[in-house]
Amino acid sequence: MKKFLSLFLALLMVLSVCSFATAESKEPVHLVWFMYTASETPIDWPEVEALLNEYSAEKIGVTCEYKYMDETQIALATQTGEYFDIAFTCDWWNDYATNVAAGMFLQLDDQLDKVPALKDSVLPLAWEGAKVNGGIYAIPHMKDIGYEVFWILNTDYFLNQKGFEKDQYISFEGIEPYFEAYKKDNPDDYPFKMSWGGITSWQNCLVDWLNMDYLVGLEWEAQGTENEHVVKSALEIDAWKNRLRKIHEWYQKGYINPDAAVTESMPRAQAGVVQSGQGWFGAETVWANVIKQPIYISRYDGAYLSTSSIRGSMTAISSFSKYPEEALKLVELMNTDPWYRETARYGIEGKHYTRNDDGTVTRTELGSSNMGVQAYAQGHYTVGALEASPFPEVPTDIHQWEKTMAGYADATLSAAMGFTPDLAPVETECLAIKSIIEEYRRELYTGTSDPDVVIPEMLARMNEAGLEKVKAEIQAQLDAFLAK
Amino acid sequence: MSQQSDSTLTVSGSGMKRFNSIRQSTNIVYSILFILLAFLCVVPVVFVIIISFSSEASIGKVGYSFIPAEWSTDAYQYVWHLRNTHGIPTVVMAFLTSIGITVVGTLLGLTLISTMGYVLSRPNFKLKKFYTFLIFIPMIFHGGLLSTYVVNTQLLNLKNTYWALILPLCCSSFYVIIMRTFFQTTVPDEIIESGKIDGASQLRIFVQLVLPISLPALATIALFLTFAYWNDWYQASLYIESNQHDLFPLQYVLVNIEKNIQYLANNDMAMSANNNALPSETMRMAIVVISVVPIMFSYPFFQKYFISGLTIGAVKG
Repeated sequence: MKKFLSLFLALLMVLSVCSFATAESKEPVHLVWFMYTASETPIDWPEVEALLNEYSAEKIGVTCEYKYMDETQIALATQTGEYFDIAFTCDWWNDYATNVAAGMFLQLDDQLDKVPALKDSVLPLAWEGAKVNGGIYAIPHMKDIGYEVFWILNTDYFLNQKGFEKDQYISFEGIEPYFEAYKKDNPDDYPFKMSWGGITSWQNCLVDWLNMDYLVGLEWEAQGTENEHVVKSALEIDAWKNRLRKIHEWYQKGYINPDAAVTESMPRAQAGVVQSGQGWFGAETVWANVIKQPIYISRYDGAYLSTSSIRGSMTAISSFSKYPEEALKLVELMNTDPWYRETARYGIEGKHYTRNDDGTVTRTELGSSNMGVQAYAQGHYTVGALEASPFPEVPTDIHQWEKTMAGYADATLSAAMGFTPDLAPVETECLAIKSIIEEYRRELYTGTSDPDVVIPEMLARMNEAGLEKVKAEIQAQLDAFLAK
Repeated sequence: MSQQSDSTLTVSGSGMKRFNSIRQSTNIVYSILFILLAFLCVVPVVFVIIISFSSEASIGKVGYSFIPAEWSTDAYQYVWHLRNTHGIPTVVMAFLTSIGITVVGTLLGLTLISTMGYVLSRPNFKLKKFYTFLIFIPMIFHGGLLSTYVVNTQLLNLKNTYWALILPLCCSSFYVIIMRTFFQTTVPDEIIESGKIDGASQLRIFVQLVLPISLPALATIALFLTFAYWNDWYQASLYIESNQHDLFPLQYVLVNIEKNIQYLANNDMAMSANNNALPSETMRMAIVVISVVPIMFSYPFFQKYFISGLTIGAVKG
């Protein structure tokens, strides 16, 4: 009897241990992800999120609640300490540098080895732009992370009618024959129409901006020389001045609309046969959709990579997160798993989008109106299917991202990578400089005024307002940064 | 005296009437002046309504004009076609939400403000000095956005509720002071004493004696509150998370539409099929019309209380 009893008790003990063991199967960890929206959460997001969570719970034991916020809401949320694990960050939303300084983001250097797929998905040189004081605090998204500026040319007119050859790399000055051809046929019209902002992105590949509002930066051309760290005003950089002289020449020849300096806006759909834009090889589908005409593009500047171009879109982990490892795993899932990425970007297959034979996808009407997400804020563009061009004459190139990323191998890197100047000590001088720039910029950028007359004037006034002091301050900060 | 007590509005007449009236010519000049002024006020509103009914193509061709090249209701159709998850038009849901918030908020606000104002106006209220001080301070010092936000979300847990849209706006120190001054100057002590003599409780005196003769002041405060609630979208942007579509008031929905248009217009790279022919210019005007027209129609409703309050006398003899 005793033997039986002791056997029974031993069995009970073993069974209880076993049940303990099976109860170990974990509940999925629940995370919070702060995401960007221009106005509100996409209407069908809740059902998409349910699907995503089903998938991620199975794969990595994680579910996630995505909270869409605009600028005011994210500022309030982070300042009042609302809990989050993952957040979108860049230099115009949930400012990256400020948050790192406040200790909000987790340092990722040692953590990245735990997520090798994520680490490999990011271009090695992109990590440099995400560094603050030598530490990585966010994962940059693989999209157009460099400055590349293109001519956007009307296919019908230039290729078909006038018989130009399709050139992928027309230089800035090399566009003149195109202007001439158009002007000859249409003496009363203008091939290159613009608004008071001037040519889109014409200067981003001439000056490596440290602050664009005040026109100070490094000279891209001086990269690799001993002068690459000299802080200059754009008005002192020859390449910048020469280009403005060219634009003035074109204005005088009648290639630019004479009222450009007072034109409030020039939407692409109305802007004419030659346009300029910052993008990548593959952006022609985007522009064609806006211009509503068949176009082809040709690069005249680039590619240049700098801190601000890389920091355009990143994902960070909160340093107060209770589950940093799981959070990283989820970021890895978003950026390496095609199904997860496509669902987060387009919605539910069949309902919000349909798959095409060439590997692209097309959004349905429901998808366009109810799943309007900012895809660049979620993760990489390099994973998952691309959207088909709504404009059949300009098809989507499904290899565009591989080509673009490969193109960055020859890109010029900023000498001030990772550096953001703090302009608080010279705020008054900066504001004075800014108002001087505002006075002249409309005529100057559109070629209305003569650069040889205006630039010396501007420079003299800026020097009076304290330009030297601003440059010295930034130079000192830059030198200190580089010395580390 | 009784002959002159009838209206002095006619120009012709004898004696005192002629003395008090103005010349025909001056009358005409003034009339023209005021007609012009009225025109200046009304014409822009009519213009906005006309633009909202023109087509986007017409704006491109002739710009803003009183006679558009082409009439269309595109902008309104676009707004109407935005649906929430249950298929109800977003604007309808938001409209009902706004009306609910406005009505509840105005009534709540009126109750709080008038009772506070009345109590402060009584000379024999023991804690009068203390409460006046308490109410005056927030008028001058504001805690700032961050502390307000923390109190409302973490202390009171109002996030994502209708109360977050109603409570922050319902009681303003300024209106309390207005009501207090009104009660002090316009409500004669005799009325209150007569109520007390007849043995009425304080509440009864307030509700049945004081309030009926205070209609102009109540109507004014009610008007201010109605405008404040109807036009407010800021509270929604702070306290309603962007996935709670059903809690959005009308102005917030309209502001979001506007933000979306701005975003799509300024970002080539925001590639989406929505880009095709967004009626952006006419949409702005349609949004104005949708927000302004209801409130425009509510004003005459309040107007009758202004007038009736003014001509009711209270103390006889």
